[in-house]
Amino acid sequence: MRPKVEVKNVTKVFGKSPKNAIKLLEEGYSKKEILEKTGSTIGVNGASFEIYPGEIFVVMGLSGSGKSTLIRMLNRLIDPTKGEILIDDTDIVKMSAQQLRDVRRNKISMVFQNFALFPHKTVLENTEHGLVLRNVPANERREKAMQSLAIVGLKGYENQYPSQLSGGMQQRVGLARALASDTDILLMDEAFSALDPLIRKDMQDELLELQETMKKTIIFITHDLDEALRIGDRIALMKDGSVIQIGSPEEIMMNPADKYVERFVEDVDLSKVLQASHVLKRAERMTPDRGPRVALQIMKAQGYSSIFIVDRKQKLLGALTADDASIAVKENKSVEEVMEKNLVTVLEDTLLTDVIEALSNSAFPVAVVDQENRLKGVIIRGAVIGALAGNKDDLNMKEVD
Amino acid sequence: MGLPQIPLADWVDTAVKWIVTNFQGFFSGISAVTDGFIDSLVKVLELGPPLVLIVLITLLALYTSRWSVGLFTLIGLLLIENLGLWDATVNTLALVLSSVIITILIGIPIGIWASQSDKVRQVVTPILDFMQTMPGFVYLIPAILFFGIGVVPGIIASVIFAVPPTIRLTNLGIREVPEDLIEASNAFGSTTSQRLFTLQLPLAAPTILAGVNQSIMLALSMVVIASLVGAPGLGAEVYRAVTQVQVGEGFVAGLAIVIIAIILDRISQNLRKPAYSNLIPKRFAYSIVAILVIGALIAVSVGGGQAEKASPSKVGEQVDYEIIGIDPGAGLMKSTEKAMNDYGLKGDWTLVEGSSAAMTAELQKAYDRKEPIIITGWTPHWMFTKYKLKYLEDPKGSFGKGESIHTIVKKGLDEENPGAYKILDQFYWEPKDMEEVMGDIQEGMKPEEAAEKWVKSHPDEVKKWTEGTQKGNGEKVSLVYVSWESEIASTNVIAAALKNEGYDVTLKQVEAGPMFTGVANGSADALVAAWLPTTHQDYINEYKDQIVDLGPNLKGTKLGLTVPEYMPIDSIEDLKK
Repeated sequence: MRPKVEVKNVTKVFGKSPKNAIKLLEEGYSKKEILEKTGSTIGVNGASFEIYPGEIFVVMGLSGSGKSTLIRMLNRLIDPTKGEILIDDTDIVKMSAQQLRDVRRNKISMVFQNFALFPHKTVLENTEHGLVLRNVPANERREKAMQSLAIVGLKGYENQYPSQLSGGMQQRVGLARALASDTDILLMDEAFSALDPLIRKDMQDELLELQETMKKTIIFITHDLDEALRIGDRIALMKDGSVIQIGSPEEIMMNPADKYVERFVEDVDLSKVLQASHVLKRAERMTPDRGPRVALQIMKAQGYSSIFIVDRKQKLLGALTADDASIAVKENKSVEEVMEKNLVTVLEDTLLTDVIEALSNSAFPVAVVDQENRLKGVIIRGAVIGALAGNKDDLNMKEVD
Repeated sequence: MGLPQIPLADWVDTAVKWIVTNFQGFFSGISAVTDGFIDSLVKVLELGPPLVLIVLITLLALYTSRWSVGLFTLIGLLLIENLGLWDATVNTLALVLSSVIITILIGIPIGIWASQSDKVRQVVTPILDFMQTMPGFVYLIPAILFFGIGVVPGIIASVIFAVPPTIRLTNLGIREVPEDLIEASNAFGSTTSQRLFTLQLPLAAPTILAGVNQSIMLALSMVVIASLVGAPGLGAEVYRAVTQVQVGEGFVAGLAIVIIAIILDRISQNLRKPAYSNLIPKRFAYSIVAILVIGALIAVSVGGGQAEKASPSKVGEQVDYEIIGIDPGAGLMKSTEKAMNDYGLKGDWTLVEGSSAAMTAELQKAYDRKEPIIITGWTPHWMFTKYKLKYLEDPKGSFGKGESIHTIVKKGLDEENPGAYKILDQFYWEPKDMEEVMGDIQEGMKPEEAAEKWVKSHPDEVKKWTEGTQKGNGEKVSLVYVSWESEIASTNVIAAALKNEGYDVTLKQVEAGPMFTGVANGSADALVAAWLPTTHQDYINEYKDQIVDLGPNLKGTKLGLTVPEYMPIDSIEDLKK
């Protein structure tokens, strides 16, 4: 698959003598030394990455890491000092103003941190703004604008002014404005940072939901790792203008490229990031027709106090403790008659916070099942606590079968 | 210390002269267009009876700024009408409106340009600072040279004075549009003009309108000053009242200006958000105003096209039927009005009010290009030494015989300061003496230096003045004078003579009215600049009990209509042909 956007060694220097600064950069001076020598600030330093169609590519970093500058170079609101930016295999850095306008109108739209809605225009006028610039006929652009307002759930607000809406609604208008242009690429510059945490979560969920149908290429900037982990297909981490690690949320979590990323990751509430699948252990299991004596034998041999009972298709039926198995042997009952059927189960992608809750309500280790109720493994208390304490031995590095 | 004086004034003079000679066509063009425009504007405003306009302005004020302002407008305008100042008010309105229209046409584009380019802003800002702090009077001087006298230099000076706020606030308003909105507009691919018209101008509109409102107020404050170069209207009324110390008239004209100012301020402030826009939509209301204005303009241009004066007089056509006068309060102007009546010139000819400086500037311009011009002249005046001029014959004697210049002192000066009193009493000289001093001043010498020079070189004459007097001992003597060249010369000479006798002399330059009032109420000791029996007779009549007339200090003055010698007419009667 060809990448939709390719960023090749892009550098941005702010200040009076960018050429000098570039030279010093190539000679290997640090950002700080260059600032002292030339008074120029390195905004972005040699960023290179590819973004594929339909993925949500998150760029994250602390403030001042250059992420906002980077995203603004993708539609050339800021001109790179050096490097190439290919969109659909065409370098936009070399484009004339007119060509660039065409790209901005037809290929790439943007959502801003502070919404950047035009206060003197109604919601509808704001939404159709991009189409007005394109000189789309009035009724056609009305229709498109109304559609995108419907998508973001703002039907009926089209004649309000932005000042009459809440923050979340305003950002929906911002999103609708970007969607109305119907571009393949959507730049989102800290789009949810100005919203309060609850609305923020809702907006993230909505974005993910929308993405299911839209399948746009979204470049999402955030300084919030939780947000990045929630919505990013891939994450690029920036520090001091450089991209220091690119990978899936898991990779970033598990193998931080350096101390900086590790520190970054440390601040994250792991229980909200790690999922059941990260801490599950192999589960001892058997089909019920083997009988209670076999169950006891297995438990004795393995040193377990319980065993999970599954059918031939690995679907979870219940769990059997050593005590239950002894009773069944004495009273000559079948496994089904004595086993515990009401088990607490969680899905593989359940977050650890929810797993902890399940553990506290369950006498057994929590069973991890898939959508079809097939047993995938179990979670024991110790592993959860270890993982939350940052102990890597308690994390699974590979998918559990 | 050792540095010679930089001849900055000469440089400016040379530059202005060069501009005047090389860009005459350009200036005439501007003059003609502006003149035509303001003429039609005045005609539009005078189209119906005053009541029609009063009602229309009232309705506009009412619609934009609540009923109370509407009521004030109605009462205020009716009061102006009642006080007989309606014509002056219409002229002032036309002056202000055309200044503001030109201000908007020039200011907003420059403001936009400055907002789009930092370079332009860096160039424009210091120029604006300069323009705003330079006293308004100063603009009148080049304005006269470029555009002659009348309403056009008044408009131009008003525009120069009033345009900075519009430029500044346009620039500011556009630059204040939040950066993220500009970014958003760019991000969706707007062109510069799309961004300007869909985003920057709408958001900057309140700030721009605040600038326009400021400009209107400044233009209004310029109307009085503009009257110095012959702009008609309420300003001229005020100016006339000042020169004649007519408290009542000055107050009435000032009040009219205040009323107009308040009305214009309220209307312009509330144009964007009219008080009653919920009842009548803005577009609808302003469309009606626009239709009325355009309709009236069309009516004026269709109906007024044939209003050309059908007088066959060649001279009249050449000078636009204008006689260039001096300050409206001067006796010479009264005489000229009388002469125009006597010779039947009243209907066709207009006497342009201005000031003596404006008149001589106009003369200089016409003379340099050998164009016809008719002025109200008087001798002694340096213009007769500098140019070849002639008086038009006055067979009907409208201008009377020649005048004398009298010395007037305050009551009781003879006891208070007998030495100075006696010197003033004995002060007498000849027109040629005076013209000598005037010539020196005109050449660029400082008045006090020229006077000192004359006093040194004419010891015998000065001796006559000081005969039989004690040397002074630092007694204070304060003299007042009007800023006519003749009086600057005479007052400085007598001051030099008094100083040489040991008196401490102060000079104050004022208008004619204040000059007499000052001597009458004792705030000044004396004046040597009373032209009698015509020019200043009114003041003598008014203050005769509070002043002492010491008789003439110069005889042989002459008043009359004056033309350059190259003009082929000899008598005032020729103007009637």
